Amino acid sequence: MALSKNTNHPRFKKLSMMGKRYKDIISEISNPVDSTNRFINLALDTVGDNSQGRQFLLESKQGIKKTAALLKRLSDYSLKIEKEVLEMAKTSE
Amino acid sequence: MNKPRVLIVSEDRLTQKSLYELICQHGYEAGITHSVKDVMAYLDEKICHVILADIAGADDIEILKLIKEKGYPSEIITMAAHGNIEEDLSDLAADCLIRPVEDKKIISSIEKALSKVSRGESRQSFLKKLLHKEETFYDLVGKSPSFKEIYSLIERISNSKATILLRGESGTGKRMIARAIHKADKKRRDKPFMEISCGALPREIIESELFGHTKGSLREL
Repeated sequence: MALSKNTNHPRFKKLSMMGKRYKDIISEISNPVDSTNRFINLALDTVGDNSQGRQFLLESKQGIKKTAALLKRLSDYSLKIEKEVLEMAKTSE
Repeated sequence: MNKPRVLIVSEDRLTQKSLYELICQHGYEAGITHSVKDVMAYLDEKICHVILADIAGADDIEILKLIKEKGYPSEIITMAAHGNIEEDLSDLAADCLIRPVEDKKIISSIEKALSKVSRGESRQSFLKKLLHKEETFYDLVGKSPSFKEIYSLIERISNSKATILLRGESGTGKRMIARAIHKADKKRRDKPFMEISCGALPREIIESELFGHTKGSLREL
C-alpha cells in the first residue's frame, strides 16, 4: 500500500490501524476455524450414521459455519476500511 | 508416477495436522515444512509434486517465485486468509485458495495441480531421454528409490555366475531388466544376448533347442 507522508490526520491513522488489526485477527482466527472444520469432517468419516457422536459433530460444524460467516463479514469490512484509507492517501497526495 | 507427494507449508500446527490427515486420507503422501523459507531445502532432499503453501505476505510470494524459477517439478497451490493477498498469483500458482476452504476444494485443486505436473513430467522425461542419455541405467529410465534399488541389485548380480530368474506380470519390464543385466556384465556384454520365448517352444524339443542334440536323436522321439 503506497501511503503518503502527508496522511497525518487522526482519522486516517485510526482507520489504518483498525484495518491492520482486523486483518491480523482474521488471519489468526481463520487458521483454527479452518482446521477445526477439517477435523470435524475427518471425524464424521469415522462415526456411525445414527450415532450420538455424529449429532454432536454436526452441531459443532454449525458453530464453525457461523464463525466462518462472521469472519467473512469482518474481512469484507476490513477491505472496506482499507479502500477508504487508500482513498484518503490518494487525496492527500 | 509414484504415490504423489504434497508438501504442506504452514506455521500453524493445527493447519499442518488437519491438512496432513486430509491429504493422507485421499491416498497422497504428505510432508510438512513450517515456513516458505524451508521449502527449498525440503525440495533439494525430496521430490514433491504439489506445494500447498499457506502464505502470509509478500515475502512468502517472493520465495515461491524463486522456487518456480528454479524449475522444481512441483506445482504450487496458495492458501491465504480472505483479502490477505492482493497480488495476482495466477502465473505462480496452479490454484489460489481463500481460507476457510472446503476439503473438497483442496482435493480438487491438488488433483488439478497433479494433472499439470504429470503433463510436465512426461514432456520433461521425453526431453531427458533425447538430451541426457547418461541419465539412463543401461537403457532403464527412472530415478525413484525403487528403481535405484533395482539398479544396485543389477550391479551386484551382473558379474556373478548365478542363474537369475526374473518374475513379474506381462509388461512390467522383465526383458528390459534382463538386457540391463547382460549389458552390466563385463564378461558377457560383448557376446550375443539370446532371447528365447519358452512358451513358443514345443515341450518335446525344449531341451534340444536350449542345449543342442546329437544328429538323429530327434527321430527316436
